[in-house]
Amino acid sequence: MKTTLYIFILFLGSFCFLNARQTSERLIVNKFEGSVKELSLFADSAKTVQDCAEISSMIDEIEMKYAEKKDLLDRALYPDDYSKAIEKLRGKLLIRRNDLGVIETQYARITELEAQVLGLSNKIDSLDQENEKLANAIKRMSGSKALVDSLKMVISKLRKNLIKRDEVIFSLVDSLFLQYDKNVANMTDIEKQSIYGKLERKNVFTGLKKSIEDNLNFLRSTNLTPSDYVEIARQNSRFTSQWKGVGPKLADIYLSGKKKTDEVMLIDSLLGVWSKEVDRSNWESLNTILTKNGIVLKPFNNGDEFTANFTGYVDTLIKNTMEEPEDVRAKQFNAFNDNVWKNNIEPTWLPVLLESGKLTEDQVDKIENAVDNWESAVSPISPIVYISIAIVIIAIVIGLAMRFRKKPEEEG
Amino acid sequence: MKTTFCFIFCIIAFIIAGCSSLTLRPANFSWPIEIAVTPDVDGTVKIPRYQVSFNSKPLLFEELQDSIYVTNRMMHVIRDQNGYYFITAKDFKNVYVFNQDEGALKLESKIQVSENGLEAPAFNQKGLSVQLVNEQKENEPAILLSTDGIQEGEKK
Repeated sequence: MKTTLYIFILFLGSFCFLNARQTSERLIVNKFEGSVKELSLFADSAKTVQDCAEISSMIDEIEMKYAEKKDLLDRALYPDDYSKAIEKLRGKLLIRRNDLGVIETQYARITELEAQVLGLSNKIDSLDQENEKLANAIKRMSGSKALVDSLKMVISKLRKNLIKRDEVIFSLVDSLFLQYDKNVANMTDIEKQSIYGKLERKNVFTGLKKSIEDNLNFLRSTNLTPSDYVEIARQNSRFTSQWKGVGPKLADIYLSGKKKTDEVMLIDSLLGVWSKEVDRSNWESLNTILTKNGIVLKPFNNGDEFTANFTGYVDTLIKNTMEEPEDVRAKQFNAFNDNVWKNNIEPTWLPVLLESGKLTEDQVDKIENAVDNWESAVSPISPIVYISIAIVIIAIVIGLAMRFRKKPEEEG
Repeated sequence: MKTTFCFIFCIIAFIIAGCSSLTLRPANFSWPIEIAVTPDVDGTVKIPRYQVSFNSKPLLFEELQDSIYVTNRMMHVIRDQNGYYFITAKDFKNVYVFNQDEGALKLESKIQVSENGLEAPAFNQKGLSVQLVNEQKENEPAILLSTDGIQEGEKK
């Protein structure tokens, strides 16, 4: 029995061994050598402390990436082995740092920021991969009714991931600019060139464009719930305000490059498309919620139209032009209040629309007042009011009666 | 008589010592990774790292019946532990195993590994065997080779 088990383990082991490593080892070695050569050139041409910090984290990265291939590299590399190749690179960078007269404390701080940039950059890559899988899963599940719950989960995960990705890319840009500790206007040409190179290497423009495109695709995918739309609207306004902070800096860096200036404009216009789409889908989604609950408004596509149409609708109901009985009107209001107003519009939509500037505070007040007025118009009068009126009437009657009694006595 | 005996004994001893071959064992000739190199215009494959060069024209003619266009074909070469050279290239249907001879490489065996020609061959050193993989398709099963032929895996 034991022997059979050993034979089976041996067979499984050799099978895994055969199937696990099927890449060309020469390619691995060539890639490593290519990276080392490239970093060596970078080290030679480093002009600023930031460049040195970036190269240092790039060396860390390849060291980490190829650590598991150390045995192969030790055997294959000649005359150096893996550790010596890395050591030589670091030595070269140190010499360059000394040539540039880099101050150690500044270097340590920038290296820390650079490590942060590297971490964020890797995070973007992994989020991209994960998001692609989620988007494919959504496409696959969209047709199946049986997978509604799973689909909701996937959509929610993708929404969260998109938000995370947006945050990460802006953090990356921030960390890049933080290394320079000054405004773009005060940067030297060398510093500008250095940050330009970093932005290029980290594919910041592509990353930003991808963020907007992914958000747009998500928005266009089916099966989104109203709360998804609310979150998307929130994300859109967050992204817009962050881009407002970063966009001009990038434009300043790329001032001389026509192609890149065009890219800044392209991001502006893509953001415009996304914002419009968010706008349109927000109003549409809001309209769907209202219509589903029996509130049929005139079509609206912006805050002004929505406020005017909603308050107009409520005014009509208050005036009761259809002359509906009190109980029907009260029922209609309660349904609106419980299902739409208290549940959805007041706690979720109004703050988002206000936050994203689609509604002004005045407009929100108008809408809230309209709902208050509607409530007052349909609410039955409280029994306390009836009792008070009765008491007042009784008091008046008693008062009058006493007065009339007194008069004949006086006459008598 | 004694002197003659000593003389004959010495001669025999020298003959015995001269005839016995001195063997250094174990020896390992394996290259850690394959060398991928294009022949020059004369068809010579030069591997500077190991100071090896050979004429690839007869091999190309044997496999492709064409030894004119030699510079556009990347040759993949690896040497195993026993010192045999394994050679193949893109579109080859076979892996050729050569042994070192006086100023030449002598064919030891010819292993058919593909029906239609290899797409992107690459060798890896795997202990006593040589692994043949498809450089462009990581999930394609590998073939383990030795001088005797295919040890593990199937023809592509």
